[in-house]
Amino acid sequence: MHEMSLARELVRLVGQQCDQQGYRQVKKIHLQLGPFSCVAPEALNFAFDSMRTGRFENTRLEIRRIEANGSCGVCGYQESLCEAYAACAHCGGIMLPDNADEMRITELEVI
Amino acid sequence: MCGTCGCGLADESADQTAGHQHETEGRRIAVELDLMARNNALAEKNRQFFDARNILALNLLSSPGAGKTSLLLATIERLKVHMPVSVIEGDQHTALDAEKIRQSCQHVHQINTGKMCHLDAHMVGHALEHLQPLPDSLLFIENVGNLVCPVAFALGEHQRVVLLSTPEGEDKPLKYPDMFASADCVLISKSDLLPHVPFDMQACRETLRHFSPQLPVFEVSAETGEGMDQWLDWLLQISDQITHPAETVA
Repeated sequence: MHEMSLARELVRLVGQQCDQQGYRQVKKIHLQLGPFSCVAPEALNFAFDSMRTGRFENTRLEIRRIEANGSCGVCGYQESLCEAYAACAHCGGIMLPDNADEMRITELEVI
Repeated sequence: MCGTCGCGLADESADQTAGHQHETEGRRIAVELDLMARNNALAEKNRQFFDARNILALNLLSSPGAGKTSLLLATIERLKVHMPVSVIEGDQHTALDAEKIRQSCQHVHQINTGKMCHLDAHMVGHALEHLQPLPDSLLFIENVGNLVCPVAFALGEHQRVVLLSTPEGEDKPLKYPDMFASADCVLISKSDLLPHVPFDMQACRETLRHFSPQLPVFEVSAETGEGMDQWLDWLLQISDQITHPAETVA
């Protein structure tokens, strides 16, 4: 459950924004995930549930996965990916996701 | 106070969170906050610590029971004639591994992660304060036994070494591809058990080759010493490349 660390970091980062900008409540957090980032959205939601206090009491997480690009570990062939670690169409190598790790908060809805 | 563990140390990494208000009247605020930025910044600090002291840092990963600690003991025995070695042990609970390592290496520090399933750069940074690894040495960071969660958390290491033991089966890289895709070196451990377990070495090597044809893969046994020479040669070669880059080029 590394999502617990990520949820805690989410609360820390957004809380810091609230302190700096004077937001009292956070209605929604828009989170953009790399296509194969090591995050299960349901586990992140579950972890975040345990942190719903104060300004995060009624916060919704809006999680969006972005499109994946990958390149073959053997021949370097590049393609957008539907599936992580699929076989390369050219040589049968394994398609490695390029933008897999991205986990970014892109927008806040605040009061 | 530190934001992660509340340990009372100053939090110095709060500089990557500058957002901006998109429209002054609106309630929707565009921001650019990276969830991994803080860990990555602390990993970079750890890396600077290593590089300033000429320390090669290796992150050792595997599932629980693949033989990381036994391999470390066998490696330290052979390596300590070449260079000083220190170890950071990561486990959810107990100091059992640190006690085992202490038999052959005094420079060891145990991290207990409690409920956490991985080491992060922050824990390692504090461990370094306790451990004070010697200059011109090699540091092993034995991560929590887990083939999933530790992948996303850089610790500042120079290389990731992933172990796969023969009783686990040759399909582990296919089942846990994130971990094996991030490896700089793979050790197939407990090779002495090959006659007793159904492990298809050829299939395993073929899968790993599909991740990267250049990936070094060594079959090793801490028990019999098989393959330890090749693994040690690789370690010494990497150590030369990383800690004496100018001399290697010359």
